[in-house]
Amino acid sequence: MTEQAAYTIALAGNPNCGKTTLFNRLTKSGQKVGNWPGVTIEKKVGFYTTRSQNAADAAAGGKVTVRVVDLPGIYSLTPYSEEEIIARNYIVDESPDLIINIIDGTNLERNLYLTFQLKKLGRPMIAALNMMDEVEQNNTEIDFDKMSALLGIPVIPISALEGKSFSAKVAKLAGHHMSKVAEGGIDRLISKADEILSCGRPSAPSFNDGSGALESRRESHESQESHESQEFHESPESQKSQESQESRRETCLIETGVQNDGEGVEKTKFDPALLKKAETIDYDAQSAVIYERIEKIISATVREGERSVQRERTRKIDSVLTNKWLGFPIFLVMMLAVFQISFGAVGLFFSGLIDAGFNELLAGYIENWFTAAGTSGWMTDLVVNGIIAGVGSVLVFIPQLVILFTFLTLLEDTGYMARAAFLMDRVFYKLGLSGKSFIPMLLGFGCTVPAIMTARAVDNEADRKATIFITPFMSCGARLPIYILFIGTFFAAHQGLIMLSLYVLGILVAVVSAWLLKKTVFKGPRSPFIMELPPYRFPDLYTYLHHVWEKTRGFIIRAGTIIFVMSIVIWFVQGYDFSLAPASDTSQSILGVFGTAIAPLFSPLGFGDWRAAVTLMTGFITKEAMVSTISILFTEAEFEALFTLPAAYAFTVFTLLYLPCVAAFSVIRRELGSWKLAFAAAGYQTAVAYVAAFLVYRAGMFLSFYL
Amino acid sequence: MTKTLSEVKPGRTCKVVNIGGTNLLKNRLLCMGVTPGTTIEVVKAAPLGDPIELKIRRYNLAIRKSEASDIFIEDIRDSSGAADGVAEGVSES
Ligand SMILES: Nc1nc2c(ncn2[C@@H]2O[C@H](COP(=O)(O)OP(=O)(O)O)[C@@H](O)[C@H]2O)c(=O)[nH]1
Ligand SMILES: [Mg+2]
Repeated sequence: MTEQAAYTIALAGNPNCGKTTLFNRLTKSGQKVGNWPGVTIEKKVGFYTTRSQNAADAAAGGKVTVRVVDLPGIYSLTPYSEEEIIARNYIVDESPDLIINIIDGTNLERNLYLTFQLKKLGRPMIAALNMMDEVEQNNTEIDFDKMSALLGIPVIPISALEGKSFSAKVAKLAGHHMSKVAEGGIDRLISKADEILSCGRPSAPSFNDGSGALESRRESHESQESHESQEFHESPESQKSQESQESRRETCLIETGVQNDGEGVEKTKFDPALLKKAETIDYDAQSAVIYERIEKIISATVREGERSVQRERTRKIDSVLTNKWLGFPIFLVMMLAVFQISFGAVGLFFSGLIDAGFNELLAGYIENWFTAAGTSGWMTDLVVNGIIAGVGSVLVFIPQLVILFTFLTLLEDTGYMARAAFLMDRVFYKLGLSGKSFIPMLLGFGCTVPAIMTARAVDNEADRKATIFITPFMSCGARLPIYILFIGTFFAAHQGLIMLSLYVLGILVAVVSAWLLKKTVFKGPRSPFIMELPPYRFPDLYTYLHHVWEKTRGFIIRAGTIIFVMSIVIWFVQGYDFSLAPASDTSQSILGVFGTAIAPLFSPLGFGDWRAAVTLMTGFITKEAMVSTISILFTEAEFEALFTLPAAYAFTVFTLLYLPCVAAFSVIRRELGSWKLAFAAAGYQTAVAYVAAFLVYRAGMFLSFYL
Repeated sequence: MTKTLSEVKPGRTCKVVNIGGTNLLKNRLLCMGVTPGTTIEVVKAAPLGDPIELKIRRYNLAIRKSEASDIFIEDIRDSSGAADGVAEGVSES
């Protein structure tokens, strides 16, 4: 059913208007999350089936599949940002059969601005006035029919939180106020959509043909009634009389009329150059006129209640959360708590379970099973020590990621993340970035992988790339064991101080790099910081769980496939020599020979030994693997003898800064959207590591000579 | 002398006269509803003094002071609605 949808509906609306929530309510099947071509902006496509009101479709079985595309959340259609260009071009190039414009009913003025711009693109359109529950709570009254007449498109009040779903019931149980006006609104929305779709389609009989078309329409309505129990839309409208059919016919004609308006719309392919053109376009007069018209429409159709419950609530919450004195402490405590739970005891506990289950139990079983079945030794070794060990080393991250995403998504979906950016912007502004870069960098202390993924929240493209480049400098949790090993062995007297120095160095390098990158590679006009602080809202359970799952799944699939291949490769180069025979010891293996070859490179840093080189190479698989590599390759005495104090410190500095693990690298590659940039990032990080380790080593030598 | 939004203290409201700065900034602000004649309330500044939080057209918007200094305004009033002529040195209404 996935690809041959008869119709396409595009959901468009401002950020935070409830688009995703409605998308999830509409499409219970076949949801797919990907990216728009060429950019990392999320593209969501889903499907629902409906009983067609179109005679032609009804003849062909009666059920039609409708594809729903969730466009990026945008405030307008100027070519100001990639999101806006994508949304605009999707509507112009792909001509969706219908646009559902979702409007936050508590914020009509600004939301209607996009409505006006969308209308100009000339596609059939329905306005879904969302958040009706909140509108009702405020005693605000809206004349929907009048608004519909003034806008020239159908207006349907809905509450995206309402519905028959489990999470809607949970919301109700949790004391969520349900709207009366919007009751059944989603069903009405669907049947309105059906209606417009079936009349907007070329094959559909024209209403001007006379009664024949009406007959068949009525027929399909009747069949709909008889089947309505098994459909998830039981439209009250479909039970209405001939009279309402007449009025519907009118709307339908209005729709086709709207369609004709749109012929002069310029076609534009996705073109980032439009972003540059944006600078030369002057919307001054146009915007002011549109807002004037909106004000008129609102004063004619809306009777505002005396107070806004949500706004007062949000103001109260913000008087604490962005308070001059409390804002930062609360923010830090919150972040620390999220961190501690994800990467601390709780996360480690679950990781330990996976480690025990997957890496020990499963590996043990398979080993026994293979041995019993008489599988050849190399095969067992490949599966157990190559694949299971490699994939397992990534799987153990999953509990930590799930916990982390659970908290972060909560902060995001409630509206707190915008406040975090509001608090932190001043600091990052100095570096040439914006407050939105803070979250990725902070998360970098836990694990680079989710950190890079959250960099999507940084809306300016240059800032986002710079953020991705520098996030790996924030010392991730997996590097800790190797610091502990080195510091414990060589700097037992000053453990805390040395450890702290590494973290601080990472931050300093990130800060300097940010500044440098923004001055050189990722320069460009400083984008203005204009950010809505949305009202705090209770997240929808289904949407929330979906967000968490999508992020986790993204990690498993994207990183997992690369890791799988990499594990096999690494296993091979570690265990086999160039004649493809099993190596007698690691120094003879491909990895060992390669290590020996590149070892001299590290001599200036004080650790020009092949084993040190191999250790760094296995650090590319996972940073944790470095400790086990050291324990395999060195005896304790050798280890202590090989590194002088400056060399030991230089080695930890190099470990801190050089290219991240393969999981992080694959995510970086994904998020930067090009191998070239990904290699540039890895190269930059390794170069920085080299220079820093060199300086540290030389300074150390110098000091130890004179002290 | 024309005042800019960056000079308005938290808790006060004012009216937009005009937007300067780059077209990019101007377009963005206009789309978000910062059009001439619109009333803006300065809600608060972030703990570090920048950005600032505004209330405009029934929603809350954060912008940096540098952006605010490109928004020309008039008619500064305190929360009770009284024209704030003495403190701000503005007397036209
Ligand atoms: N009270 C209320 N909250 C809603 C409604 N629809 C969505 N929300 C909430 O508004 C927030 C933003 O919704 P979301 O679907 O993520 O918006 P998007 O940014 O447009 O995708 C979430 O916390 C939702 O739970 C609604 O009809 N009523
Ligand atoms: Mg969304």
